[in-house]
Amino acid sequence: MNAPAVEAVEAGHRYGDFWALRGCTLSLPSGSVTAVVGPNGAGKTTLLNLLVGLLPASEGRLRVMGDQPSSRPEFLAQVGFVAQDCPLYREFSVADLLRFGRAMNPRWDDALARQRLAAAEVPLDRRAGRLSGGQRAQVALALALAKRPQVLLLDEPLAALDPLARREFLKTLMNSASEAGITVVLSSHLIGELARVCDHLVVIRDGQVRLVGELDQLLAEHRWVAGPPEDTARMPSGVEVLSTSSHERHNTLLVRSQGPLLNPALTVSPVDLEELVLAYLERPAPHLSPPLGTHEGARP
Amino acid sequence: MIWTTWRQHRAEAIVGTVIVAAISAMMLVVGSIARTRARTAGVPACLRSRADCSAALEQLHRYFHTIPPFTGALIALPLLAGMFWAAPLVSREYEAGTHRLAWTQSVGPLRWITVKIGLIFGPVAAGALILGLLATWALDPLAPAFSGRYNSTWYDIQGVVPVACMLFALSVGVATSALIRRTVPAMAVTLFVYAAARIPVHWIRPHFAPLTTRTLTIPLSGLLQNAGANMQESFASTVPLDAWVQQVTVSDPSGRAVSPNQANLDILARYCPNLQAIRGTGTNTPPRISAADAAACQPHLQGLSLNETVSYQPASHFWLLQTVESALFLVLAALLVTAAILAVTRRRPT
Repeated sequence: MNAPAVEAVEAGHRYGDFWALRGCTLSLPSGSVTAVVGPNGAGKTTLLNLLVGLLPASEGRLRVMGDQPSSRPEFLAQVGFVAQDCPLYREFSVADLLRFGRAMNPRWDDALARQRLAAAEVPLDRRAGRLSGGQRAQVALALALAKRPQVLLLDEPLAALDPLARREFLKTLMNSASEAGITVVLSSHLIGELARVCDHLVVIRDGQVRLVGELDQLLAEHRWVAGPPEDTARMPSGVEVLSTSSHERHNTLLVRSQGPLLNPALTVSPVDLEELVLAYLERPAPHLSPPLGTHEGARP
Repeated sequence: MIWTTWRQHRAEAIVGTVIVAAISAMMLVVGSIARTRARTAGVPACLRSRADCSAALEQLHRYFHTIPPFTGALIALPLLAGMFWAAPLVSREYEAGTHRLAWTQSVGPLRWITVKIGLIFGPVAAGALILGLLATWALDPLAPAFSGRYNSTWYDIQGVVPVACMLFALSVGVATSALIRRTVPAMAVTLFVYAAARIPVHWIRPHFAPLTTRTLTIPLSGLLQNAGANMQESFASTVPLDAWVQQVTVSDPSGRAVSPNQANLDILARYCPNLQAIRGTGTNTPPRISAADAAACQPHLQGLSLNETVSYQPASHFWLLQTVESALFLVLAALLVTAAILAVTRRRPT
């Protein structure tokens, strides 16, 4: 349990001259549930494809369960992957897809797959091409879970689902993952849905990791600070100002600090996940300085 | 993986089996009838006696034109298999996004591509072998009527060359599929590459084995009896009927080349200046020379002769040529398959 289940050190992938992901460093503990959030084209899919070995790392180092991601069967057996748009063979029936899973995976748990599909009320005789978006996602999840992976990677699994189906899908995912002690990494551009399920957060934009950490700790470190300009302008050292909005004689700041803010002139209030993610997505790219732990200065 | 391959390609397997069965049945019928026809026309006996068999062969030739054109189908089969079976093999996965499903299963992409190639190429090659050997058998009695087994249309569909062609076409298809990742462009490139590789073979094929050369000396006096004809018509070929003649050169006593179409009179005129041709009265009557002229010419021709050199592939080289050509295309196929496997599995982290 000590070694991280998923680890990246300065990892990146380049398509020709374009870096889809660069300098990605993160460490996710075993059994954690991580949300990778960011706008479309941020590099979320690239990160997940790197982790499952579908793409080679152009630089840096990646480890999943201590193993370098690759196309080796021993590696792939440890990782469950639900690709973007939940690709399935359209002409296969759901029963065929289960047979496919059994044929392609030595540790296949057929009972688990059937139980999941029965719970999701997916008809086994229907062809994959005729399933609804929610059913497709459930089948893709069942295929990935029945592999009995130690790490489950899901690329935008919620994108095609309506709100009810999203809730059902996340419920299935979380129940299965916690029962089996699986480490889960899922990407999404829907932030609100993930607050309930994830305990770790990775914010990506323009191929760069903007924020990574344990969710509770991140929420504890970040807060809204409001007060008169003369007080908000002088923050103690160790406090990073992420954003500032000014009103007449009154500034509102989003700050990150390890310790408490003791100035009585300031009103401090907690931040929620969505506000936190948006604040990091809206910041200019930290090209020249390390993203965290140093004073970068707020936008004027 | 075996089940997966079967599930994804069972329709093709059924279509392929039906095609092989249908063409095989047709060839069994054609081969049997051709044998009967050849026997009743007396072709085998006539050929053994080395007599002029043109009437009997003409009869066989006509018979062949009454049967369905399965030779064309057999020539097209490798190309069709390459375009419609092999070219979609990998690109179809990319286009549907299912490569991300297939290649993240525990068996891994190396096993995926090698098992698929093995399970598809093996049975298809077996089908091609059945068709190739049946074509060899069915066309054998007809071959003398079609200038032998080296006939450029028939050569491609007989023996083991169809197997090599089939494996080559499938390899072109699967390699372009894995490299281009789009089905329609992969099909187009497969068509182009296969044609570009196969068509020039027709010209280089005779050199896949050493040519047999035969030199014949023709005394010039022999031309006198047949003065109205041309060189070619005056002498029965000394090269076997079933040989594949590459080059015929004729040189006169001074070493100058003589066209086989040149009239004998013209050749003789160089040595007997006073030779007078007697023009025939009808259009179909060839010119002659008088007995007196012939007698007068005879002494001038003493000791002079034409030299005819023929180079050819004898019928006995059929399997040697087939083996060389097959080996060449199997090597190309192996290189293409390697390229396809690398294209699918090369996504290793650097």
